[in-house]
Amino acid sequence: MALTGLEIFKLLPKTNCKECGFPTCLAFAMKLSQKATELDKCPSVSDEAKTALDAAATPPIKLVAIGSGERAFEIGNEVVLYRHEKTFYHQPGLVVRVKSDDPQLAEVAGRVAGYEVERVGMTLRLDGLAVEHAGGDAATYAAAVAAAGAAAPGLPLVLISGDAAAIDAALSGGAAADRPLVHAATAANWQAMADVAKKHGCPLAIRAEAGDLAGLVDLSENVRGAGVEDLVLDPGTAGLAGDLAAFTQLRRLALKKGARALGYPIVAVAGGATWQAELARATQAVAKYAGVVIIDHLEPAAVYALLTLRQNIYTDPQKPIQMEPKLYEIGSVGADSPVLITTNFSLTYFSVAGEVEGAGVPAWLLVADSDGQSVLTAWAAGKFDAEKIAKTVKDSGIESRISHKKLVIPGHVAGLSGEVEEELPGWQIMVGPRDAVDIPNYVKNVWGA
Amino acid sequence: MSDASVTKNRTAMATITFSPSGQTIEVPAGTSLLDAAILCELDVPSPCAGQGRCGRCRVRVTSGEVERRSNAGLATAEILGGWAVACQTYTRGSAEIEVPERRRETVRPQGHALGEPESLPVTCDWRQDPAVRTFELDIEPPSLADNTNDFDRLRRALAQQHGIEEVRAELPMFRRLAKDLRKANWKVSVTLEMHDGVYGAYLPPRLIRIYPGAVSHASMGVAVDLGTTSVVVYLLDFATGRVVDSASAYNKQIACGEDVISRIIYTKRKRGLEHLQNLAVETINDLLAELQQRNRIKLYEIHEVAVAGNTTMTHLLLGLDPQYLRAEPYIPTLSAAPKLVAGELGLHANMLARVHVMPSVGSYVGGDITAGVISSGMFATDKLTLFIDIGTNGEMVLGTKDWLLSCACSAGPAFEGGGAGHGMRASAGAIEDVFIADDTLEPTFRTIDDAAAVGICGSGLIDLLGELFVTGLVDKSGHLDRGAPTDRIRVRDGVPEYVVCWAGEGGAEHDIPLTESDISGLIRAKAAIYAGFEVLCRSVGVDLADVEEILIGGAFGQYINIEKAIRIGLLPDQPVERFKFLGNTSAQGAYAALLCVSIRQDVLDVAAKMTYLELSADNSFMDEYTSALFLPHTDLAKFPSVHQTLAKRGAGPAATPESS
Repeated sequence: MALTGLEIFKLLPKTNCKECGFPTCLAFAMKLSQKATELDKCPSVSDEAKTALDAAATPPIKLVAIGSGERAFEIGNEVVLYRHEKTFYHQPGLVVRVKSDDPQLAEVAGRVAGYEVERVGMTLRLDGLAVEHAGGDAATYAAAVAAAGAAAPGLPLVLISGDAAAIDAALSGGAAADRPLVHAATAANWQAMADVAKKHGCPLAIRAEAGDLAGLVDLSENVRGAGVEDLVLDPGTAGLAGDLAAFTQLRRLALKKGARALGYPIVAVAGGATWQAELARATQAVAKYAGVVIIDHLEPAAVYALLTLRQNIYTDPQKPIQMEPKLYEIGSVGADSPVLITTNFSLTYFSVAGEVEGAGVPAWLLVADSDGQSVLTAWAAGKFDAEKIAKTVKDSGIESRISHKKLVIPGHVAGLSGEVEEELPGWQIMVGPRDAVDIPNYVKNVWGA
Repeated sequence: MSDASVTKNRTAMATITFSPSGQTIEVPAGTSLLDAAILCELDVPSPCAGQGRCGRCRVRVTSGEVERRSNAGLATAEILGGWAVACQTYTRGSAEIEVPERRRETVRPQGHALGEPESLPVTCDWRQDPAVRTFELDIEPPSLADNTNDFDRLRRALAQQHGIEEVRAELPMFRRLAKDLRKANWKVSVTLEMHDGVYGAYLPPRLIRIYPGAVSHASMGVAVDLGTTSVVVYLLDFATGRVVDSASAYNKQIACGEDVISRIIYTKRKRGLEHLQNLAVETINDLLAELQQRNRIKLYEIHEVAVAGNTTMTHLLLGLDPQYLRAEPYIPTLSAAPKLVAGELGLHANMLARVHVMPSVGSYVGGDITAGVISSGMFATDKLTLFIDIGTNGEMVLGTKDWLLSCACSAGPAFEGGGAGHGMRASAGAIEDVFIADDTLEPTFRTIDDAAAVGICGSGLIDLLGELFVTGLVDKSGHLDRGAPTDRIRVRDGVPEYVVCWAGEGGAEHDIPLTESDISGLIRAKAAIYAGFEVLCRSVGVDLADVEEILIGGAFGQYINIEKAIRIGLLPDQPVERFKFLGNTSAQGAYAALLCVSIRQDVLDVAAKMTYLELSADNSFMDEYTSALFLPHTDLAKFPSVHQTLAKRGAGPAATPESS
């Protein structure tokens, strides 16, 4: 169970020496309790305190790595129930399931490995392939896994079989080197599965029946007792309501109740008969707590939606996306084109740049460094004031590229016009519209007039 | 395009004549009317420091041409009548400007006495270890045979006659020493600062004054509470350790902005910082002059000064650039001020008198709070204590003698009567105490000094809102019940309001209503304060109910009715015995530091030990704030006593809002 800041404080030397980089021992203790710093930073911590704190410092949800090499992915180590409390750290791996007897197995594996889309400048990809044991003996399964591995080299795998011997064969056949996730140990086979996972050093999913969390706790204790450390939980639910209830309870128990047996990431086996039904379950699983989401259909419309959702949810809302502060040319600008200034919050930039472009009047767009804040926010925080505007104008070198000396400032900071005029002698400061949507009208009618 | 795009000829000058004062000033065209008025030292209110937001700096242009960049807050008829917003109106050529007369507010006398030496917070034996002492000396005159220099003669006498082996002095003292000794015929009294504070290495006593003959003059100290709104100066006699008098006035900086943010913005003007520094010193000097006159002392008999103020006020007094306090990551220049003497700051005390400035903890937890923690005694207790100082900023400290955690939440000026349409500071005519009858829904109230009602002060606002809530006239989200059987609820300009005092009632000149928007402002302010309590407790993992003592300091605190403050969810619902009013803790801390040398170390320790929690660093404050945006709170379980009251009165939670 996590210690409170005060409990940790009592274990610290209380010297307020500041060597940890925090102003007081209490400030350091509070950061420790939020797991936002390391105990090692305290130069004079006692051994006794270390032991007590180390125990408390274990993350409530273990970090588990699946795969090896470049495309390996990590899941778990989450610390909050709601993203707005802090952020979500490790996005769930999206894995496509194929049956081991599927004649198109190699072809699907290749498509999964090669799938790639770009969104807001980032490349989004699928994370793995799950090979489900569909009849046949251990050697047949091992061959199918080997074929999948050959068709998609480096792509993390999930081995799905209830037969420990089949898993053992596949892992012994070379798959072990890639650290696939083994799915799954159940009440019936846990001993054999645990032995195989331990022998090959692979993460192991444990699966209960129909959301039986007590059963999951038993299983967890058993396989951990057998020496497997990296676990992934599968509550064995089917359907939206069951998934939501089980996943939420698992996350709460791990974070709020300190349930160590359940302090592992979750795998959602979302595959369904139609891609639409599957998409609904997968969507919920991405939003609510899954570490791995397994789907059956490589349907582009569904996959793109899932990747987009995942990207949105796992972007830290507390770090605004910023544009590089510099002079942007919109259209084929000339010496008489208008000069507009705004801040470097990406949404602000895209709104303004989009409207300027839409206006069809080429323009110089100066983007000031406001630490990624929008115009009014930056103004209120003193990050978009007359001084900053003047500095941006001077540093940009715009003056030598234009024949006029007119600067359009956002209408929301109209009050700054006098001060900017003082900071930029010789410039004429014009007050532009408050909202980007009014820019076309402004540059066409007011600027030209 | 507006006037703003017209390029101005910068070399042109404009002559501005102000009426009714008749002052004339020549300024470059393009100077704002506000700046011109300030140059003439005219009293034009400017709560937002010339940002063009508040619209309070209105003046009337009676002739001449001006350039209006904004007419914020003015009606068309007013603009046609020549009214203009002074900070947004710029001179073009000569013009005549009428400055409306300002209604003067008087300061409420600080009725409470400071603690007497017997009630000082800790074991501080000021008699054993006095800060300032005066000694009589009979110095042997020099001769050809004994050509020891003047200062060494004085030193020798001090050692022989009083056992004080070492003494030092500074240049201004040396410059007068030769004459002073000879004029007094070598029989003098010397005043020494016995301990040079606690800053660094030990330094021997310092000579701060010398006068002829036996010990006959007073030896006084001054404790200053340098508030954003008001400044209080306490005069103490080092002979008895007692406060002999006090005086208070509004901080003269108010003309340059009513809150600290506006003042920080003001310092960005040309010589703005210098101006604010002067105003702070002037405010204190005026009060010193008042005390001097009343108590028949001489200003040079003031031998030591201690000042407690928030971080911004401290920066402004010292002339430090405060603008980094306001911008992320909110960093002050210093915590503890360097060694200073009154002469360096321009304070009208003995120019060699040491000035102690209470150290601050963070940008929004200043020396006033450090002083408060000292005077409240919480730095020496085992009990889990919450200390709060409610003003424009709600500063609070949670802790025991082992740890202290502080934060500041911006409540805005609501509790000082700002923000509300008929809000006012606590001065004569302010409604401060309200009761609303259950049956008739008629209010009875009391005003300060029993004067005719003019407006409602902070404590009156809390009282009134609490009463409106328990009588069911306001629902938990702050909406007035328009269907209630009383004509005091009416709608003006689309906004419902409750008229607490009709024009003519008790001599009031106009109706005094509380509008729904006033109410929502109050709810936001109280939510910010309460959220601060919750976040402080949560961030160290204790429960608000575990707090054993809740100490309320600050000038405003003493007038709060606890029960009613709990009712609206401003204070936590704890047994009344746990609350204690401490009065002006900022000044008390300064007073303790002045009198007790040992306390000066405690003050520094407290400032170093106190952890400052930056509420904007994560979302927990926002969450708590949102939950607290109801009367008394979203979670009624946190306010069991309010729940009971409501149940008894049969109003409240069951009643659903009929208006929205």
